[in-house]
Amino acid sequence: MLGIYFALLLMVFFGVEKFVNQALENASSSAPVTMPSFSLYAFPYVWQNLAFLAGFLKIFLALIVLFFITNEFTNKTVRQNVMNGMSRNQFILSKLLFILLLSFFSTIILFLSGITLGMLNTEEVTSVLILQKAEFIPAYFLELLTFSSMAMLIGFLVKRSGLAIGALALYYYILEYIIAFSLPESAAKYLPVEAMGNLIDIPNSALMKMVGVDFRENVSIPDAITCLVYCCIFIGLIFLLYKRKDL
Amino acid sequence: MSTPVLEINHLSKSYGKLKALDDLSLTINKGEVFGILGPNGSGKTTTLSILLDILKADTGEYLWFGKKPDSHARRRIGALLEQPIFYPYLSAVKNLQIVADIRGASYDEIDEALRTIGLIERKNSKYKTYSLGMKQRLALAASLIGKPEVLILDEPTNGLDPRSIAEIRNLIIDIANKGLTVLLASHLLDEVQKTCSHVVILNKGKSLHSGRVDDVLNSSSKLELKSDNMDALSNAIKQFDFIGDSKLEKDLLVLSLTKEVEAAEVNKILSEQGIYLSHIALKKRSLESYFLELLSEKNV
Repeated sequence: MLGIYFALLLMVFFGVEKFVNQALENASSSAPVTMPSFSLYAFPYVWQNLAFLAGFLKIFLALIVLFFITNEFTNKTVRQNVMNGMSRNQFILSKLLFILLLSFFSTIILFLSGITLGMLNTEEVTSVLILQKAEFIPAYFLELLTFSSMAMLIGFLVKRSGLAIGALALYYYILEYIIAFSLPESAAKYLPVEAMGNLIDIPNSALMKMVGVDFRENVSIPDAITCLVYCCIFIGLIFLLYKRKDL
Repeated sequence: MSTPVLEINHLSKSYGKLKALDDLSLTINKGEVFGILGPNGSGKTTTLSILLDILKADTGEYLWFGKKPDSHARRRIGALLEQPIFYPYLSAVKNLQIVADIRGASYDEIDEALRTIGLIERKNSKYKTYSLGMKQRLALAASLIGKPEVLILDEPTNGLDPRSIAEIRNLIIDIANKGLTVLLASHLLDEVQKTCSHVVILNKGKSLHSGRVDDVLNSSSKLELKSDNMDALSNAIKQFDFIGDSKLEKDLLVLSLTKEVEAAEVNKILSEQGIYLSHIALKKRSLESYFLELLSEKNV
């Protein structure tokens, strides 16, 4: 399952440019103005482009986290492990370590793909150019970690895989939109899914500049802090809950 | 006196409206084989789960080895609760390695343990391919890893064939002879009577009786008497101080005894008084009859 996820990640990274250019070509053939063909992979834009794309795949990562945690509850191995002398906190920490490693390796894949693709597709490579927008790498890590810890909390709360996936999907795709709708915009951007999404904004392309939309090209510190706070809240809640809860 | 292995003080636990455990107090000393006896749903597994930190009690506390319980105390306790639990997609060896890792035990113990329970040939098979008997035996092996001082067994012979049951009982007796303290929950009275030195009888989460198994059996013996002259016999027995209560069952006079007596002694005294018995029998009550009596007394 992990293998499939990482393969998917690589496929998307390496295949997306061809796909986008193909689509643009098709579109420009019927459009009055010719669209410039451009590379998604040139430094320094490659970081934001890839990180943004990879963001769509984080739901798969969350599924892996959910399965990994609910498995312990459906097999009752969490009981056996605690019985054998693991403390409850050690058990939670072991799962925390798992999501940290998972997020970390995903980030490593992003980094290696970005370096490879950037090197191949940038005319004049300088270290300044490479590092210019490299802040998207840690931002991607934070996005994954926040989402994984949210999945982890749901896994610990719901305990059964089917229900947990349902609960996560319900919140991710529906509930948060409803909540966001009833809140003023200034408050809604602090909701977890919203904050994760804002962390890495939609990359500006030449096309978008043409129509006059301008998205953020850097990582905003308040968004990063919001995500970090959510990580702490989600993980903290698990520890707090399992002080008293029956296993 | 040394610190008790386990001290339970006023433990209670409810699931919603249902009181699963009601003010239970117990003390278990080193080397005892302590049976927890009760019908299904009497709170046996709930008690053991609380002692292993799987469930949290509503009120009350318990001390392992005289200290507030923590994960280190649990590493000195081997446990087999309800059913064997392992990662189904891992082999026996891998599963036992996890146990050894948690308990800080050496991997060398694993092969030894697998040999003892006769699973060494299948040690690399996945757990999910095991039969119920093999799973149960593997769980017993797992509970012995890390050389625990206390063994907690919840229905250890559940679902086993008669030969495996006998094997496991012998293993429990062997373990107890090595000085380990054993806590055995069961609804099989015969099992408790055969293996335990002490017993607590639970019903609906309440302790109905607790003490030595021998005491239970002796204090609850009965004496059956029959004579041609039943009236004289009824009068004559009033002189004895060891009789709790007497009643006529068909043509037998059944006396419950408050202390141990010898049948020959009773016969001798009565015959000296000219009462000749046509039947005398000393019946040691089994744990089973005592158990059923206790349950019926409490109107359940």
